Amino acid sequence: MQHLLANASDLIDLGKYDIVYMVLGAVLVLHNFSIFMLILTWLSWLERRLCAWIQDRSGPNRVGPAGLLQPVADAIKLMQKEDLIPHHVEKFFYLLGPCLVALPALILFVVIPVGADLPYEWVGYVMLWGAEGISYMAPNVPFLTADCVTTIQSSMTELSQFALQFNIDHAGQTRSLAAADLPVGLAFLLAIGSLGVYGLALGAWGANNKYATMGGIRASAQMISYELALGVTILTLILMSGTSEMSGMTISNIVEYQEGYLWGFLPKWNILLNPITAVILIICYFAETNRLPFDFAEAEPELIAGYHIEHSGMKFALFMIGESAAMLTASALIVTLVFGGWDMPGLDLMLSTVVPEVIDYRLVKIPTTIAIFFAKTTLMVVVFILVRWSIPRFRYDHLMKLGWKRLLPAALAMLVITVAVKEIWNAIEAKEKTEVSKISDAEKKK
Amino acid sequence: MSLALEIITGFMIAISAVVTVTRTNPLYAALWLINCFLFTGVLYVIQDSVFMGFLQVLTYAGAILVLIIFSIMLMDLRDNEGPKNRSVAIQFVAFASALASMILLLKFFSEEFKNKGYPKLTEANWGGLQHLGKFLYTEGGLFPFEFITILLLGTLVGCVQLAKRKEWL
Repeated sequence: MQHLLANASDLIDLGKYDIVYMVLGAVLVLHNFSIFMLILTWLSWLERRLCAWIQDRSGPNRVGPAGLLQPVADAIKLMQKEDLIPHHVEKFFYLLGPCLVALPALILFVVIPVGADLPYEWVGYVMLWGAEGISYMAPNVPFLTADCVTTIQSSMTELSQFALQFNIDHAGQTRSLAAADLPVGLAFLLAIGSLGVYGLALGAWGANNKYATMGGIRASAQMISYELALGVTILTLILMSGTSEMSGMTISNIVEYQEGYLWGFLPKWNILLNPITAVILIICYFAETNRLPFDFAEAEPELIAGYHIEHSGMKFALFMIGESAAMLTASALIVTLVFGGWDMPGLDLMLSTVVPEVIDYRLVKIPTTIAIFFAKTTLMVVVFILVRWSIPRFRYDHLMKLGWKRLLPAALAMLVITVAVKEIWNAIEAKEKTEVSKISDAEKKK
Repeated sequence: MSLALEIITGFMIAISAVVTVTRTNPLYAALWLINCFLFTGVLYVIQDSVFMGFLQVLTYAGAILVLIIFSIMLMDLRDNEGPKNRSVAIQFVAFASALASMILLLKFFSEEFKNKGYPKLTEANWGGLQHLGKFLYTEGGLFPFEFITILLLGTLVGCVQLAKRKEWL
């Protein structure tokens, strides 16, 4: 076994700390994903309650306190239903659609930084405490021979030495709280986001129903139209925040750029720096997630239920989960790209007054920023739901006109304007710098 | 390790390509084409040019294939048995392309190619964003890049011209 393991490590060519990075990445995936799924579970409840509130009804309020257990009841009901496959469907695509539909939205969540940067030293401390705890506990465990105990304790000593070395090598370094902060994060975002239409279109085609096929066709045309404007707006945001040799175009780069203040009191968020681009981005995400006012794939008055008309039971539930997941991920991305991500103005000031100096303020800051990020995301979801009941559905030609004739030219124009403004700004700053250095030189001469 | 991965990925690309052209149902063919493009993206990522890999997924799997599926869904697919009249010309073209690919394969295994090898990709971060941008916009990559855009524009105009009805001309 050991021989095999040694061979495997030769094959993969692991670095010294790669195993730590891998475990850390896995833990972050688990952490981010569990919070995401927790919100996703109660999204249907939130949506139904909000809809009911807007329409002056009470909504689901019987199962559990305030109807909070309604999603659980729904899930049980849907799972108990007969797994019906109509005889006229193209079976492979009919089943593939629901499987694919939630996948891109769930994958996208790995590149979103959900909180302030994590110092690597903490990882070392956790390893150290774990090693010490295990070597302290080992003698007290019953049914463990003395040999076993000594082996465990010696390996734990090795681990603690490894952890100390890890901390020395990573002194002062931090890691983004995104599970995978890819150097091409924004390209990843567009690439995986563009795969979102497949589940819907293929499932709809496989259903072999005219209404479903119409829904699928509409969804694919709509996605392509709005992806262009979305790509251009994201390009504008990349240009604003700039790329660096080290980080490339990571998403945490954009979040870092949005820290700080505008004129001393406003947060330096992209929605305030470049409001038109931000609004175009939000509109494009509404269209990408197939939400009202852009829900042509399932336009009820025209297509009855659109793309999922032939799907029932758990397959239908998967389509619904996919829609909610897309909405949640879109909210998280909007928050990250234009609403400052986990950043909150005045947070550092507040923490420095509240947290006593004995404690590392980051111990409070990181959980607070995670809470802020998910609170912002939930607020954005509420905006999605409120828009659903505020703006009626477009007509199809209006949708195409808006995408191709309004949003795309506007996004391109904003790209050019942003570049021009940034260049002028840089020139002014460079000039000021040279003037300041001239003055200081003159003072030195005196 | 990376060589083994490259071989597996290349094998998957080849299989997907073959399956794509042998399907009679165009939507299944499109699905295998997506598979082919995704594995091509994986091949890019294995060779350290991550950005190109994701661009591959974005443009081909994300945009072009959606267009293809869109047009397939607009077609009437009741008769999905594929082309019936295989003319002599088509058979000749298939034979010629098979011959050409055989010659290409033989060239890969020839002594001359073995000695030369493919260009060494040792430069650090060669597939990175900055390197790629610098190459495309300064070091001689600009002309082919612009030329391809003009070529695509020409194709677009040609398609519109072909698809137009005669009385509008």
